[in-house]
Amino acid sequence: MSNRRKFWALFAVFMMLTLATFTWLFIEAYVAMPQVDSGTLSWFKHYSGFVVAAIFILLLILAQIWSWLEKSLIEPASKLERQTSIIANIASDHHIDIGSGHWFGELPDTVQKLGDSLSKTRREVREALATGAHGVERLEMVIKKLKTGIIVCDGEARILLYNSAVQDIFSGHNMGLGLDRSLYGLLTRLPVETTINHLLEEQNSSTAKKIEEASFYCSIAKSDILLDCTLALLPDHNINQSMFVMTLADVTRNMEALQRKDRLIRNSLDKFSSPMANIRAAAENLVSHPDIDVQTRDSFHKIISQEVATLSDLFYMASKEAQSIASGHWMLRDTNTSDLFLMLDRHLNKSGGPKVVMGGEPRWIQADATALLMALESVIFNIAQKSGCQTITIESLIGDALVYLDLTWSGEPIPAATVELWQKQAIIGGGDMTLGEVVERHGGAIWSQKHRCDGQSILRIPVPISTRQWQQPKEEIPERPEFYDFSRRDSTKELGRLAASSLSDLTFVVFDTETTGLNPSGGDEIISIAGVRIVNGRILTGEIFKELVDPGLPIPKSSTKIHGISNAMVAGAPGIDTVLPRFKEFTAGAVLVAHNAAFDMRFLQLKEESSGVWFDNPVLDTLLLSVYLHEDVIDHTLDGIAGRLGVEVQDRHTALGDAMVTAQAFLKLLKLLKNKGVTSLGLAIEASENMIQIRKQQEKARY
Amino acid sequence: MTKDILIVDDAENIVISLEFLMKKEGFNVRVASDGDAALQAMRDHVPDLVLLDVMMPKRDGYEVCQTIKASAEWQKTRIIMLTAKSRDVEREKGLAMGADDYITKPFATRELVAKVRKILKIDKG
Repeated sequence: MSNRRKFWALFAVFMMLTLATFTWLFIEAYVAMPQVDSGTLSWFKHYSGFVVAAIFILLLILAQIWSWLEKSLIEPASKLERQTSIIANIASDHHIDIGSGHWFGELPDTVQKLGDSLSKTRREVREALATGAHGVERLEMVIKKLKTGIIVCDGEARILLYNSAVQDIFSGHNMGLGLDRSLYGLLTRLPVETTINHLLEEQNSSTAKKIEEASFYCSIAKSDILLDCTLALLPDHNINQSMFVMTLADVTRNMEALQRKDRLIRNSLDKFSSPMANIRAAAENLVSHPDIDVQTRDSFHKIISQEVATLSDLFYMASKEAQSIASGHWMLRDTNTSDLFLMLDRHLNKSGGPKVVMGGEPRWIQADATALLMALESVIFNIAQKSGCQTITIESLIGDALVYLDLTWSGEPIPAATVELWQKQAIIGGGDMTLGEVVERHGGAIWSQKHRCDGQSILRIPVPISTRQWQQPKEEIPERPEFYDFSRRDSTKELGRLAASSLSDLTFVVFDTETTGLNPSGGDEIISIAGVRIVNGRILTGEIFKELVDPGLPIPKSSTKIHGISNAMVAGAPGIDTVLPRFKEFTAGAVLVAHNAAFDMRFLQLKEESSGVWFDNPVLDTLLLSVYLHEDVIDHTLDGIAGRLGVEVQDRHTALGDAMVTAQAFLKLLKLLKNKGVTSLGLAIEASENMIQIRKQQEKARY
Repeated sequence: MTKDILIVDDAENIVISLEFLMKKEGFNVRVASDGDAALQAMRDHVPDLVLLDVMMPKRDGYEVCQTIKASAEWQKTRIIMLTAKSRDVEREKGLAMGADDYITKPFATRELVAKVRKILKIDKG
């Protein structure tokens, strides 16, 4: 009831009471009338009209006071209340109007001022957020598109951000790449830790000029891949550990080339020395002893001719090897010919040069794109001038270890002497750089010849091919928002402290297994295992574990019916002892979650010995949590829970599908747990254990 | 007194030249084509000098050198290592194994002769 109604209700009550009192008085007076003496009666009869009028006037005055109070106090108050509520909840720029003649003095103006400043603050926050979000969005895109790998980690070396370049680098080794996972699952620990410690010491030292970043080489764990890393600490309050950002570049190829070059030089020096020694000794003998007998002389001649042949072979092999070493191309980068040709076309259009027609398949080449572009432009101008042909076709043809960039025109080939002359000329826009230099840098030859079509000629520029020619195009990473996550707080390592961890801070791996049967200790085996990670209340769909397992025994038809996995499907799949260590890596640092977890955990535990992997993670069971939350419900199957909580069910009875459903159900259960006050891991585990006890007692009671 | 020289090298083409060269210098020359044969030749008759190639199959020059220097009866035998390795460490390794001198292939024959004469303390001329 509004204040105004209360107010008028009070008035009504008051009036009723007054009327009732008077009425009662009248009735009393009337009943008592015969006993009253006649004088009083006549007085009463005489004045009753006045009394009634007086009462009426009194009531009128009261009504007047009431409506006056209503106008100056109650009505403005309710107006103020309503409008303040509008300011607080709906539109903070609302203009307050409660009319005049109220008793609230400055209050409406003050509220108005409050509202205005609230409105202003809200607008500023909104603007700031928009700018911030825009900035973050742009930053996100820049980081994503960067070709350099970037990883940001927290003080415990857990990954908070990584970009697609990092994914490329670790593709094939990406078992350990994921948010909230340890960097040391990816990279060898020592160089990273040493660098961090060095930088921390530097930071805490008193020297004026501090080193802020450091570069080092580091290899990917369990592989030959070498990374060139640069690490910088990010500002942090903690002086003993700090967030850091790292850039990574795969330098395996460069290093390999350098090593090969080094080896080539060493080997050549060693191998060449022996034949040369033999030749020299024989030759010097011949020279210093002109009088030697024919037989000896012949033997020396033979030595010399044999060893020279050996030397020639060695020389040939060494020069072949030298050519195949890519280290000379260190300044060349992978370039796609279609990009190069498009740029060329644009350049020529701008400068009003000859028209180019592009042909051939796009190829990946190694090129100093800028220099090559300018060189091509110059050559095309030269050809047009020499041949008078204004349309020139450019195409890329794939050769042995080369890609030929062929310029084709109608007319005669350019004489070799002219090509030679062109090579000595500076290229357009290239400063002092000559065509010859650019050609030299890309493999060292350029020539003109007749085209296989009559009346046409080509000028051929061979350039080194790029290995990307044969690489499968990389899968685009799906657009997903969860490629970084700065919001996680420092979680604790020890299980004891873990118990106190808030459920919303923990990382979970929700998993499911498919098995040959339902009896783990009776010899049934895992045939499929899948898991998804939940970090900060989000299912990371980009970080999924999914493996088929060869159980080493035939899969019963009855079980194939359920999960659809046949013997043929697991043929060639790794064994459980190979898969479990990988799964262990996937679950590192996470709380395990499964529906009817005891079943899956039993399978894992039975394999501890043979796989050498122990799963000592804390475990939560969606079944037990569901029982805890909805004790009155009977159906706690995964389908039952999913139906009750409104989780869409897909791919049931595949390990990944079930894990997904379980994960979604788990997230909903977490919310319900929170409402019930179960906010920490310790409390959730305690609740689950109580449910086990209750279930056990129920079982006992049944028998 | 004529000095005895043992040439140890598996490459016939250098052996022919070295044998010719040393004979012309007036030494008694014997040849062994690997490490085992070299040690056998040492046992048959102790030479004054061994021209020892480093790179040989089975027992390499370093090992032969070490064996010779470790034996009491062969203490007087001098060793010149013929090394195909141009790196300093290889030379150092040879000297550490007890070689008296080394010469890097390819070498000038005159230089080798000079080294041999110096080590055997034979005056020029």
